[in-house]
Amino acid sequence: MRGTMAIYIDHLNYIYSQGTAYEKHALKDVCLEIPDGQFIGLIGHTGSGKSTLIQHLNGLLKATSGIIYFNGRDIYDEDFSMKELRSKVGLVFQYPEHQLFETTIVKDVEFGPKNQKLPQLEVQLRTFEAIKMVGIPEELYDASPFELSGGQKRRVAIAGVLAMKPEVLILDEPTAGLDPMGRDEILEQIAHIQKERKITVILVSHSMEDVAKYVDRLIVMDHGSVRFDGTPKEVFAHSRELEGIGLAAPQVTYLSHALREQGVPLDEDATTVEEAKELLLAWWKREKV
Amino acid sequence: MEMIEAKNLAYEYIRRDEEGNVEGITRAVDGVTLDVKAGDFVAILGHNGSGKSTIAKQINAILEPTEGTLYVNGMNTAEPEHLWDIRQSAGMVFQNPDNQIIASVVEEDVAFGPENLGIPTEEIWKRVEESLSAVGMTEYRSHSPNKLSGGQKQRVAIAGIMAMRPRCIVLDEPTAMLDPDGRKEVLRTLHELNRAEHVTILLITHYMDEVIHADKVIVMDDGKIVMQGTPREVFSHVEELKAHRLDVPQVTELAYELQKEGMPLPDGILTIKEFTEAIEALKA
Repeated sequence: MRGTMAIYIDHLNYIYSQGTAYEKHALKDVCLEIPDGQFIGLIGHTGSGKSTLIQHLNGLLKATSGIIYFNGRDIYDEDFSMKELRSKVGLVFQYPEHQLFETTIVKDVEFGPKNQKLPQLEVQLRTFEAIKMVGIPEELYDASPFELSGGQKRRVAIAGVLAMKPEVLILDEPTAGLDPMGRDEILEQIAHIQKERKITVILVSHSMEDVAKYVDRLIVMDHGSVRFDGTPKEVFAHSRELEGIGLAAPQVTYLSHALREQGVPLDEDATTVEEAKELLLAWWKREKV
Repeated sequence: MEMIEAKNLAYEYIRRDEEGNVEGITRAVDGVTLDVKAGDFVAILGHNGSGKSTIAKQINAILEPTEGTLYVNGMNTAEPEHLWDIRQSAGMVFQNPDNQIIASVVEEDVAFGPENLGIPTEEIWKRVEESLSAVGMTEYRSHSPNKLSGGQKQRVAIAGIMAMRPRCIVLDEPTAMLDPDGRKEVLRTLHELNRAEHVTILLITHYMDEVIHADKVIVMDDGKIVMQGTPREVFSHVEELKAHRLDVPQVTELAYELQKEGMPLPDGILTIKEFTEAIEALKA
């Protein structure tokens, strides 16, 4: 079982500042199996442990107890290469555009693969492939990243991680601060990359509408523990409990509840606008007859 | 009485090379004429780079108009002698709460503004008391700000502004970094200040669901006002909003999509309640 999972998290605990007045049990007995090629949404209110968890996945934090297996190997083994782990688990931080630093877009994106000591040709191939993948037009390749719009800068930063060809791509709120169209563009691109490269994507998000639309699986964290784990539909069925932990379901899910209460027999609760539309059209067809 | 009055307002960012020669000019605000009445709750929508933040900085007299005029609470923002009075009348709240909080105790942070205005100590404490109560943060008055959630921090930042007794608060994407609960807290606080204290609110945001209870919505694109009206008027134009890189709340979009399929629903549905009422009418 462990051999086939991209990531297998076994009773993970993490305690910040252990033994001081600021001690905080940030992850409590977290167990998760993350197979290859899954698109996962990770949600939870501020301080629920999401960021602490993803920092463990590429070895930035070391567990207080518990084990993480990556492709079947214990990452805390002495002969396990953390460097290799970090090139296979790509982490895009919040506001990644703040980490752009090179004079041209190409130079910025090739920084990662260059550091991996790949042959020059391979570095170039990966760089151009990654920039193309995030939809930056060719005439901008030699422009300074600082001349780009906010959404474009962010895409260049994501390309920098993609160029290292990670097997797992983790994005911490990649759409924060973007306008609605910029939000959709980035998420469409991430969904496309996920399908094309068949990689595992973990998307940390505060937008229930976004995760409902894109992910296969939703993991909900609360006070350092995994509270829910299932398809968006399964998780959003617990809208009451989600509110209790500072979250919410998408607006159309609440609409489904309200419609049912007034006697509109929808076949199920919607989690996306598209679904709600189909459900209501089906009802309308029956109603007209 | 007009709180904000802009006439043909423009602002140009001038980019220069290393020698100081002009490389290019970006007209971030381009001929905006706008009136905001005292006590109104006005929302400004627009995609990244549409000019909303530049206008906010002009209202706070951080940027001077390149062309046109801008009066805030009757004072011309181009006249340097009004600078401090303008900033006291129109307080600003920014996106990142961590950049706005300076003291190590909540009540000291809120007191920072009035202290700088040279207000007597007794009066400062009275204001701190009232401001914290207005944003619902009294019980945290002796806490350290860095232990607060994002929404709580933003409410402390808003209390800090309130303690300066502004007539108007301009908020530039105050909820962009908050989780759903934090966003709700901040919005509730703003509506409460607007209702109970009659503070004029100018809210810049990317979240469409935050503007449905505003008195007026202004949509900006390319430095210009391209749409304005009540939330219902503006959100009735789904395609036009999308062309400006914006969106509508999910129920509004759903109603619009169903209309296109021939379901006879009214235009500009904004809330779940309005939606269920429209469906109820269909049943009968």
